[in-house]
This record gives sequence, C-alpha cells and structure tokens, in this order.
Amino acid sequence: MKKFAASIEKGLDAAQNARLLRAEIDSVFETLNEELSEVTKGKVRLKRETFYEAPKFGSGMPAYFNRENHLGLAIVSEDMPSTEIARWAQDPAGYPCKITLPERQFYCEDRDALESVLAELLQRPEVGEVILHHLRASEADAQGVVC
Amino acid sequence: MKLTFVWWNTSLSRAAAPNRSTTLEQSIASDLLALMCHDIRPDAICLGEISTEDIALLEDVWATHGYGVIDGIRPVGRTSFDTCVLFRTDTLIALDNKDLVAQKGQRYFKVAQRFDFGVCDNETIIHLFVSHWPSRIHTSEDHPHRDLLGIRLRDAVKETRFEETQQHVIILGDFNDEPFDAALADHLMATRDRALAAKKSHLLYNPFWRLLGCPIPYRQTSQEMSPYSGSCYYRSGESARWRTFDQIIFSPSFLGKTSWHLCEDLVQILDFPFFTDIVRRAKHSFDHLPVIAVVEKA
Repeated sequence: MKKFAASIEKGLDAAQNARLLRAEIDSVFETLNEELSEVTKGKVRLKRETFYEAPKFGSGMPAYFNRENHLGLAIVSEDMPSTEIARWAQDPAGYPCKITLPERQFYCEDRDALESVLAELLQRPEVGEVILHHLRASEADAQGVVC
Repeated sequence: MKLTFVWWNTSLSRAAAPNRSTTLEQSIASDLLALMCHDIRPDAICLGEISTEDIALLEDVWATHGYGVIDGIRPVGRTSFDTCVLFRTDTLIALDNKDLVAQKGQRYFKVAQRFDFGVCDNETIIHLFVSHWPSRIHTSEDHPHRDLLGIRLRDAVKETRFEETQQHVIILGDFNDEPFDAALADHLMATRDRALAAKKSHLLYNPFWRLLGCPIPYRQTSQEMSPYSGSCYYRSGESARWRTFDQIIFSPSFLGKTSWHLCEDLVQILDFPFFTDIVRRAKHSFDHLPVIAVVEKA
C-alpha cells in the first residue's frame, strides 16, 4: 500500500496553486504600476522592497550585518531613495497578503481585497505627498536643480 | 502587584443603530460603570457596543475615577469598530494600538483591536486584543467566516511572539462564540486544559470553560436559584437562554513561565444583582453581563 503518494500529489497541487496565486498578486502590482506610470509619466513606481532596521548606535559591525529586515511597499523613483509607505507580508501560499499601516493592519484574503486595500492606500494624503515628493525630485533633477 | 481587566458589551450602540440607548439605559450604564470604577478599580475596562457619544456621556464617571480613554470607534467599510478602552492612568501607559481587519472581496471582518500597554512596574508590556465578532443572526454558528476570524486572530496574536519570548497577551471580548466553538478552541487554540497550556507554549488558556453553567450547584434544599448561567442572555433561546460569549483568554506566560500569574479564582462573570436582574427581565437593550479577570505579579 502506498504511504506517501497522496501527500505528494497534494503538495504538488498546492505548489501549483500557490504559483498561480503569486502570479495573480504580481499582476495586481503590474496593473497598479501601469496606471501609476501613466499618471507620473513613468517617473514613479510602487515596489515590494526589503527594508533594514537601523542598527543601535555603538553596537558595532556585527550588528550592522545582522540587522533585522522586513518587506515594505515602497514608492520608488530614480532620483530619490525609496520611501516606505506600508509594511508588506505575503503568505507562501499566496494569500493572505498583509498590509500594515501605523493604525491598521489588513489581511487581504483574495485579489479583490488586495486591489481594494491598495486603492485605499493610494488615496491617503500622506501617500500622495510621498508620490509628489518623488515627482518633484525627478523634475528638479531634469532641470539640473539641487533639491 | 495585581492588574484587573474587565470586558463589558454595554449594548448602548450598535454599528447599525448608533446612540440607540434611552436616557434610562444611559443612566443604568453610568451607574454600573461607577460601581465598577469605585468598588473594583479595574486597571482596564474594555467596553463594546459603544459610540463616541456614549463615551462622552460616561466621561463624568471614568474621568472622576482617574481613567483615561482610547476611543477605538473607527469606520471599517460600511460598519465600524465599536469598542473603547478605559484605563487607569496611574497603573498603565498606553503605548500603541492597531485595528486588525481581514478583507475578503468587498467584505470586511473586524478581527480585533490591539492595544499595547506599559505597566507601572517599568518592565512589563501587556498586549491586549479586544474583539467583538458578528452576532449569530448575521453570521451563523457554523459559518466559515467565524473560522476566518479565529485564524486571523491567531495570526495577529502570534505576531507578538508570545510563544518564543513569553510576551503577555490577554484577549478579551464578545466573540458570539462559546469557548468550545471551533473559532476559539481550534483556530485561536484557546484550550480548557490548563496543564497542557502551561506545558505547550503555543496554546492559549481560556478560563471561561469553567464558567459555562450555573455558578451555584443544585441541591434539593437550596433556596437560592442561580441568577445567571453564562454572560449573555437571549430570552428566546430554545435550549439555553444563557451563553458564555464574553471571555478573557490568556497567554501561557501567566501560567508559571514568568513572574506574572493568572488569579483564576478571580475570573468571573460579574453579578451586580440590580444589573443581572435588568438583563434577565429583558425589558431594556442590555443583554450582556461584564466579565472580569485578574493577574498578579509574584
């Protein structure tokens, strides 16, 4: 009697499903970036990026190399360091995706939820401010002005 | 040093009917809160089904007794969180708070609100999770959305790293689920087995398993009838009118792993006879008794 075949099948199915869901999540960010690019004339993007915690002062080189890190959603452009606008975490199986803001943590259970929370995030004045800041830096750079 | 925590679903306001309470009901709520603040002096009183206006109406009571407030009334989609925390400013310092929301399609699930407090011993942090889950009228007993709430609350509690670092976590609220329902017992992993919770760091302990029925055992000669058999009263209940929907759940750090200990003999459904009588008569909107728990630092 086979002991593991059913489990292996299940694992393969789960991996395939997770791949599809991760691709779906990537496609949400692609669509968002297409629209963000349209509005900002290709100057600003939203990226999932690793951020490192600042090491404690005086903790030495080993602490610097072993800094804790986390994933964040970042506004990026060519002329400024990226700016974190929320924390990001994703289940290995795809969903839920976790978006953490200072006062609220969202667990997005599917594509609709992810799109809706990202849309809500982009509507925030503080996020609009970050995008404007990046845009101004790009424009200043194009004119050779130092910000 | 002792810390006392109270949860009470006040029934004063519902998301669908904010500020629905009558002047008499507001006065009863004010009297009960004053009794609690004066006689018990809890360090934190978490209130549910309350509005910002209700909090303001009760301000005379909590402010004169030295309590601060964190107003947790915040919109989520078409509904809103309906809880607040009153805390003693001489024993607790509010550090941070966060709403925990799961979203599926266009539907929002209010998983909990997390309130982090520093204790005046200058070394303890308490992570308080306050939940008010949907009623069974809107989300039936066996609805998968209840599983989702339990799973996501577990995820949020795990983020404190209570298993690895003995963080102090207290989860309290009206779950509209009993201690034995899957969302709490299986998904949140709030067990009845205290010895196992003390041994296995991933389990949480739910002392409200002990409070499922009448507090007074039946005897042939007993004159006294039990005034309550749970924390929530529903007059038309078919098999039981009382349910234990209001609970306070603890991380294993309170079970012998740190200097803080649960005082289980002080975990109770609060029976203020005048108020229990009002709930049982069911003439007003009140349908929940407050619940209380105490922890002590050795």
